[in-house]
Amino acid sequence: MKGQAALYKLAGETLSTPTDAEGLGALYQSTLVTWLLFPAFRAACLAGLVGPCTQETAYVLLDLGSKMGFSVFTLVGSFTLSGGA
Amino acid sequence: MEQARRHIVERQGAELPVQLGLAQQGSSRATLLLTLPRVMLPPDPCERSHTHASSVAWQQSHPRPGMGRGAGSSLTSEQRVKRLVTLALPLYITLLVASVRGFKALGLETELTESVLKAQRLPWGLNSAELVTAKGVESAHSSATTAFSITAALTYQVWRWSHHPTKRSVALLVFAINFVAAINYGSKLLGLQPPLKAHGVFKSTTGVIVYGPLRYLEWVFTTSFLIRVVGCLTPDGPRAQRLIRSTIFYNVLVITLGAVEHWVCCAAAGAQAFELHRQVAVAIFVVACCLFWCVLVAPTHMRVDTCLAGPGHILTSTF
Repeated sequence: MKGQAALYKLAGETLSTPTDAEGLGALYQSTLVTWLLFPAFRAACLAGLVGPCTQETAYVLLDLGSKMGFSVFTLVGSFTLSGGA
Repeated sequence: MEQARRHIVERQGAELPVQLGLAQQGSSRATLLLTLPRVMLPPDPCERSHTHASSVAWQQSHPRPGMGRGAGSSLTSEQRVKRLVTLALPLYITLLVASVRGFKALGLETELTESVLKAQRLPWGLNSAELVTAKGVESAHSSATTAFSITAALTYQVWRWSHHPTKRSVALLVFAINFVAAINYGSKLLGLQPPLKAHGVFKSTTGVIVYGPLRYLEWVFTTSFLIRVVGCLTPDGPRAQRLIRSTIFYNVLVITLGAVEHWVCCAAAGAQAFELHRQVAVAIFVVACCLFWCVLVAPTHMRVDTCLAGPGHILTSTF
């Protein structure tokens, strides 16, 4: 057991409503997409398709999007755990 | 006299036998586990008393199966998170300062001027497809610093005013994520993390400059916090703890490989050496990507036993 997928799955099973579990699934999907774009941009830079400045800007925007999305989703989104949290 | 003794017992938190008695009479296991820290642990001076009392009251009124303390653990989940953040934030700042001083001592830094960028081209003959300028990168750093600072301040307030321990743990970890990111981008904005010139060879032979690998240091901390946030939503048990620890370990391993790859690119000391270093860097990058895929999305067999899922729920998921 070493995957984030397992961790999100375990957390999703703890949530009390299917809507919350779907929300967590959406958070996992968005995390998956944004995290996979980082090595994609790095590979593009290594292959010469983009320059270092473009790569750095893309990193900043992806970092901003992923962290902001995660922060807003976990704090503003009202997850209801099985114990009422 | 008897009244005074009873008062002292009540004030010193000797409700443990009462709670133990309740548990023995059939109360939930979670009620017992969630009550123990209030009695056995010393009070936390940093924590407001009314908040802690509210948290304990909430825990007692809303017991969650298996969500109290791990087996054999002496700290609550919230206390573990607070200790983690308290240790990690100074460690990150120390490592950041040490790395910046190390780069200065090695003489790897360069000025990111427009002339450098104009002369820049990639080493194997392709023109660099730069869509943004150095000013654009600075603007991105500035925007990120502002956004992360504001979010860190907001999440700090959420942490201060939340009552439920799980929500307090999540808010504290999200605050730590945004705080570390704000420090990282703030230091870039202040010029503490200038781009590296890799012994000047990149600039003289190929014109390529690279941004410093200190971003990977930030990622080590922030992604670990992020995984821990998801871990806060899982039941607290030995299997969940193992899963969180292994996920963080492999995640840090992937980021370390990325930093090594980045460093290999920086450390090329000649045009011929660069080709060798590039091949090594690409090989490391491929290994890191494979491991990254395994950590993030690979199918994993997971079995959740009754200790985690509660009585009557045996969940076996393959995904």
